[in-house]
Amino acid sequence: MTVWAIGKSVVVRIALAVMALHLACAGTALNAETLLPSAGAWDSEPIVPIPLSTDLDAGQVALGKKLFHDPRLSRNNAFSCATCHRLNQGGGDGVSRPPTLTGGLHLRNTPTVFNVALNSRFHWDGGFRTLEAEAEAAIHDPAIMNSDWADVLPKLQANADYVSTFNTAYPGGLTRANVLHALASFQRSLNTPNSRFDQYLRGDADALSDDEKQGYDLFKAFGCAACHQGVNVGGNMFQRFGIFRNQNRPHEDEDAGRFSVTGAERDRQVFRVPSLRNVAVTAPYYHDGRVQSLETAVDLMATRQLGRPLYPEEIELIVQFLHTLTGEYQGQLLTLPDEDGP
Amino acid sequence: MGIPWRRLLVVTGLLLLLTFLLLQSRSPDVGLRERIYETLHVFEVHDAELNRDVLLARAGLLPHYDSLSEATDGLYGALHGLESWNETASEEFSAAIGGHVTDLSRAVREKETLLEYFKADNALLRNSLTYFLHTGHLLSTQTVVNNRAVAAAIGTLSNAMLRFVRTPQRAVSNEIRTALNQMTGANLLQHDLHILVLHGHLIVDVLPEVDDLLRQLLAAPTTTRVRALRDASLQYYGQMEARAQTYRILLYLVAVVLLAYLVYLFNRLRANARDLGRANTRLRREIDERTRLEEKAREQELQLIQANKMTALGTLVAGVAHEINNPNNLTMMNARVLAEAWGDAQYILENYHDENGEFLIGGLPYAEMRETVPALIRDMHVGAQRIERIVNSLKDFARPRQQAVQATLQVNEAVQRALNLLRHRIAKTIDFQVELAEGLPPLQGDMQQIEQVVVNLITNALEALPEEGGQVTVSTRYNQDDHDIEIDVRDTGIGIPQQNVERLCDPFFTTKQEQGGTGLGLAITYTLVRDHGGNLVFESTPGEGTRARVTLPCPAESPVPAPQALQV
Repeated sequence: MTVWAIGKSVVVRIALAVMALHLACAGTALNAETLLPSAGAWDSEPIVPIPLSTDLDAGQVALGKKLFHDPRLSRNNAFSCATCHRLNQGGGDGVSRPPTLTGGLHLRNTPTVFNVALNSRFHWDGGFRTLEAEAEAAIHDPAIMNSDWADVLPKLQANADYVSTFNTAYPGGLTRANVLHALASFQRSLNTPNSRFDQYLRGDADALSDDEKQGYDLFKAFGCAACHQGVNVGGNMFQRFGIFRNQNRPHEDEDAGRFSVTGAERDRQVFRVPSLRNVAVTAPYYHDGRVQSLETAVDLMATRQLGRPLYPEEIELIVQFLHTLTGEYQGQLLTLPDEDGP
Repeated sequence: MGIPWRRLLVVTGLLLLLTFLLLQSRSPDVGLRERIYETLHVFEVHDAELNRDVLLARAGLLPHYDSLSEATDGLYGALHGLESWNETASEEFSAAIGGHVTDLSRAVREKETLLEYFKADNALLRNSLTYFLHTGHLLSTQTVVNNRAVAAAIGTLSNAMLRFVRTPQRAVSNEIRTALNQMTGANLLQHDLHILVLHGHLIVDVLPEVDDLLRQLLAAPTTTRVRALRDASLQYYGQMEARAQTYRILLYLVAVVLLAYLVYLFNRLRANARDLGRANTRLRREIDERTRLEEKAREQELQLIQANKMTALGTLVAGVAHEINNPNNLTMMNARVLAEAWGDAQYILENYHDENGEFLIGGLPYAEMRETVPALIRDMHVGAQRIERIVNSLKDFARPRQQAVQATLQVNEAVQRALNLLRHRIAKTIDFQVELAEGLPPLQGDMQQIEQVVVNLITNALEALPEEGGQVTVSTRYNQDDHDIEIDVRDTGIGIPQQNVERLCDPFFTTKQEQGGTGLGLAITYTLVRDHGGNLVFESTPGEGTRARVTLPCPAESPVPAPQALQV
């Protein structure tokens, strides 16, 4: 028995040594490659240009586009994703709050679906970390699609075209996970790169006019860029709505914001900082779409969030800068439907 | 049949045990272990990135928060990997690792919450600091003209704020608050001043919070949880490996047992095979022995039959000889008398012939009969003599054996005496060889009979030779195996057809009828040899020659000579 015990302990020790050795090797190998640079080439700028291309499977994206426009994802085939997220209307619906299936109004404004994948969280309250989770929730949400997989999948499977397309695009064919993945893939393809501002960031100094450059400087100097930063000019953090309140006017907002997700008192009236990409074509503004004009939105933000009233000329300059954030989808600059566009 | 089944069961059982041990002795999933360690490592790297970027953000050196989001995504990616492995792995694995994965997951979520708070507050703080410094400077320069007291207050406030930002101490924050309240109390004519106060309050409120969040973020238990998870995993795999090793040792032992058992079985098998071979050899030897005995018995039976035949013949012949001999003697004597009578009568008949001329006698002219009758009488005499000789031979053949003299004799001497007898018959043209072995043991028997045997055989050999040339060899030797003496007489004569070889010793069998052979020579020879307890065998190849071999047994007590052949 002693021999056994010795054998065992030796073996354990050898195993430990081998593992430790492996860890040491892995450590040296990974350290150099994995540790991301804290900031890229755009070190000095709070805004980063959108990558000019995405690395997505074209078949899956096309499939996702079809699903995105397919009302079969909702009960009674009433809505598709594109009902609210209209690609020809800045990826939103142009109204403050869209109507629900049951006839009321949604609590919040429809956020644009363009550049959605560049956000770190989804929904105004940041309730979802992944596009797949968001899409699945939308299908189940009684106010949105009011459906479930038992309803959706048979409808999709009844369509021979879907079945064959899924079989081509995915090894698993038409499944819940693949429907979600296709939808997410399509949304990941909805980036709008090559805005004039991105061109400017990439080194084309003439891409912006002097006023627009001045507007960008003000945007940074006034602290807008403290929240609206990163590749999506926002979308990667939360902030309380109304830092500097008008003491004379009680807050009219009934929306508890992120509190509804986390239940933390600190998250009351906290919302995701929205992306300012394509902001010129995604009116109305704020989580409840209460503001129609960009000038008003900037003014209100400066007052409420920055505690700094702006002069109209400053607002005008910032708005001009904000217009340069409008990017291209499939090579076409995004426009509003009443303008000439897609 | 029971025993092989039991052995088969033992071997099968051991093999099954081996298979079981082989399965149990497999090392735990090394791939999964590697993936876990790699994932933990990736997690730590992202965690380090996150901490670094949080510090950079606090210092105002991080222009945007995207890297924080990426790091968080990295943490969640690693976490989801661990969670999915935990779900799909074995229960043992989940029991050892699952709790730690849950802990890590909770730590990540808590850290993310802190991070979101930090980002929001840090944005506010940076904004307010920027505003405060910018506007404070603006106001202090503007108010210098209008109100020295306000300018001084703003100066004091800025100074205090600078100290507070450098080291956020409670005393300083109280100092700032007092100054801010004094300003609020003052008539805030300027809107900017009011906002300055608001931002000042915000800084004093938020900065400690941000720093607190920063501390919490850096002290978040993710690192501890990862270490705990790694330790648990290390321990789990160590235990698994140790268990596998134990099974490996058992595997080895069982394999040794199996091998030993197989070696044992193999040895048993080999021993059995050896026994079987031995039994087989013994059996074969017994069969050979029996066959030999049977052959010997058959031979003896044949000899017995032959001997009986001879005895019967001898008895018959003795009787016949006696019966023939008497009339033959009469014929012979009468013939002599008749010859004398014819001699006496011839004078008378001559005279009568001379006187009376030709006359008939016995139906034939006398002139003819005068010549013929003596020949007839001579023929009668010769015929009778021949009958006498044959009858004498028959009497020899049938002579009672008790007459043989039992004395000690040397075979070589008997051969020499035979050669002396035959000397005149051996032609010069014949190549006659004699090879007598020296030191032959003496025999018990009748010297004259042995001598006659040799004479008969040599005579036969000589008669078998062609007109000219040829070779006859007489040799004696001692056969140690059977303890007897062999006398060989070989000739290079015409040989004997195979069908005749067996009949050579039958009485009256002769191929030399024309030469006056009686067919009794070899029969007598054979009888003499048999009387000495020996045997006579002929081997012949027609056209090449014949060998006659006499074997005579030596008495059991006679000494065994050294085998030695000498040509004489």
